[in-house]
Amino acid sequence: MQVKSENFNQVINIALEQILATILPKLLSVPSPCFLQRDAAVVYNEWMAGIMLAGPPLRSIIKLHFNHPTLRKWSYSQEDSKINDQMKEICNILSGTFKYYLERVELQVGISLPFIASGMDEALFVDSRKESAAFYACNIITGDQPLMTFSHELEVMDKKKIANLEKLPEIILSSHTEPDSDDGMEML
Amino acid sequence: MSQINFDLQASHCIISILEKSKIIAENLYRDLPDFYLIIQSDGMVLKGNNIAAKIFNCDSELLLGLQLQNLFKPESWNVFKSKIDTVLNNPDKSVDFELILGTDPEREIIYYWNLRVTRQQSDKTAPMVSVIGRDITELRRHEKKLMEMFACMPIGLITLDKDGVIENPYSAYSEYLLAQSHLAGNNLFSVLFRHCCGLSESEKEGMHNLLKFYRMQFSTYELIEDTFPKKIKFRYESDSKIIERHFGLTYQPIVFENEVRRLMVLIEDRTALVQLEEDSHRRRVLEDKHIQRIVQLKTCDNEILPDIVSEIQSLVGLCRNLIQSRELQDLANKLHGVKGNARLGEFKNLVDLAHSLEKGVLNGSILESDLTKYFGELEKEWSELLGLYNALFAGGSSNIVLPRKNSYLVFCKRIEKQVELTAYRLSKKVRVEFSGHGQDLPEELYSEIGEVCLHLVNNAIDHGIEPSDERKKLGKLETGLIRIYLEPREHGVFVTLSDDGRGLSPERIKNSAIKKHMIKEGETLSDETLYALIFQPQFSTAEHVNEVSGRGIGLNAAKKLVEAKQGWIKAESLLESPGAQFSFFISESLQESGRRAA
Repeated sequence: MQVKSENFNQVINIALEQILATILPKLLSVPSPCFLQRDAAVVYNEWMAGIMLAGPPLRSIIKLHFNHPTLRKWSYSQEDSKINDQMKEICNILSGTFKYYLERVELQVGISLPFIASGMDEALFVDSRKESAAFYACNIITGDQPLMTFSHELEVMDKKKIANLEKLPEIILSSHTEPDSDDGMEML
Repeated sequence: MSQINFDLQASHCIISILEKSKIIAENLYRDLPDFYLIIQSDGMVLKGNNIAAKIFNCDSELLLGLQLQNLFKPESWNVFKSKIDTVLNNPDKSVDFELILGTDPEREIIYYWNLRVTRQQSDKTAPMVSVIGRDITELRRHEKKLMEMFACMPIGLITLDKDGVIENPYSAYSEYLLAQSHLAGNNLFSVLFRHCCGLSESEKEGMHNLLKFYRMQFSTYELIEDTFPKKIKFRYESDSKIIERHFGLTYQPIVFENEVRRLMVLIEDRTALVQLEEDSHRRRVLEDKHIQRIVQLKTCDNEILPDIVSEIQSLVGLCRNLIQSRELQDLANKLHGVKGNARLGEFKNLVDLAHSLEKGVLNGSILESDLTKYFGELEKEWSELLGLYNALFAGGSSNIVLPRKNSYLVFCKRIEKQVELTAYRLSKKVRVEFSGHGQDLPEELYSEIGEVCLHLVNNAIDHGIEPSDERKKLGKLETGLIRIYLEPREHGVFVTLSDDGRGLSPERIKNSAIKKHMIKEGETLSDETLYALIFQPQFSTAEHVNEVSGRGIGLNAAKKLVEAKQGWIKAESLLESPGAQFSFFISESLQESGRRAA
């Protein structure tokens, strides 16, 4: 039975924001980013990097909406393809770290390869999301300038099994240590 | 987990392949030469191509969130916004329009816009509108140039839309030709064909076919094009003037997908050409008449020609005087004489003119005020003939009439010729015999005697001598006979002219006189008195009028001629043989008589 849960979503969002705050300065030359929640029903930009996580208790899609001219200021490369690779890598690390913490609360999920898509897809096919999925979006601001937008969709399949999810922010905060990039990751 | 991983891997593959295809498609529109945007209903830009980014002066990936409104002047944006609303209200239809892009009045660019609602899966998002704009500034500039050239062409050039209505632009010269302004929006019929005169039935049908050209198959159009009016006479009346022109019309269909969608009509002013043609035709007619006159003069008997010319010259002069004095009966008599002499010379045009003038004078169809004009035509014809006669026979002197050869021989030839012509015209066979002492007559009397005899001969052939088949039935010779006897007497000449025809019928003369109210019914008159009636003006027993006689002119003219010479004339039926006899006496003037005696 599918279960909709805003509470679980909120927990996961906090967790993902914490992870992003940790990894973004390492992968882009940005100072500490801040997160500003968006109310817009549709979130998109010129491009979108995404990755899917799926397991018996939940399904999740994590997306970063960006455009190349903005990221050129912060990226180590000026080439669009390299920037795309960089954004895919951010998605990959974000999902890998997330998977690591999910396993810490005994939730097993698999991860897809990251992908790049046109940002317009998000605007044109927003209804393809299931009604049962929870949606979250925030603008990532660096300094006083928008850097990109992060969005996340979560569909809980088994509410009982994800009960431990509430411990996740605490675990992340207490860990303070970066997980081994290969430890516990299941590469496809 | 392996199944999950497999599913994820499969989803990733599908997304990647689809995305590659889509990126290729997006690259295509990015490089479109036209302005391309996807906007929200409020004009906020969601996405655009490189041309749009160039106009916004930013990177194409930074177009998101910009306002299209910023590219327009406020009044232009209001128009654009209304078009967005229109397309949103009718999502299945696109909207096309022209609008100037740019806020700088010095540098306005004309764009042709196409708006349509973007098909999207979501109904949660606000509707999106795709905007395609094409810079047509250069196109319009060239069009303007072409229109200026088109408008200045010195020919009428108009195009018709599907309803046969004139479209803009058309050549300005068309307005001049048709003498009307603001042609656009008017039907071709109302500005052109309504003012045409002399269209044949087939041309009228062609005119209606012309207005049915729209969406006609080109092959069908080619069949009906032949019926379209090609040469027309245009007559336009405005308050202050009447304009008459001759137009040549050429039709050029504008064909699209094998259907006629528009019709171009080329109007050529042929007025000068037509006038030239008419002048040329008139010249040809004149030349033909000139040649005809020469032939007439050349083929006329040389012996009688001077006599005929002299006689006509004299009669034309008399006619001129009679017109001035308004003596119409005498005028008709003299014209009859002109006609008879002209017939003798076989001057056909002169015969026709004299005949129609005589007829018009008698029946009153020619007003007195118009007499001079119609007589002028006769005089002109005669003047031409006389000029040629002088040129051919008098060494080119135009004012000299050759002296007539007043002789018995010429007199006889004139009469014989007259008998021959009149008999031929009336399909009868008649011969003439002369007896007496004609050769002894005073020369100056041959003319008067000849003139009287011409009228009497015509009368005898037309009324007296029967047609050949009738004569045969009566046991008469097939060829009728006219006998002319001339005898010089003291101070004059006595002449009898008899025929072997049906003779005078006192009964018919009486009935005719009653009908004309010359005598009363029941009134008893001697034959001699009755016969005298036939010399009265416009008296005739003929039931039908022909070109030779029947109007009661000839005998009256003869009487007038005789009386003018202090003579007399009478008619009688012959007792000893069938037929009628006319006798007359003409006096010689005292001066002539004395001169001859000396």
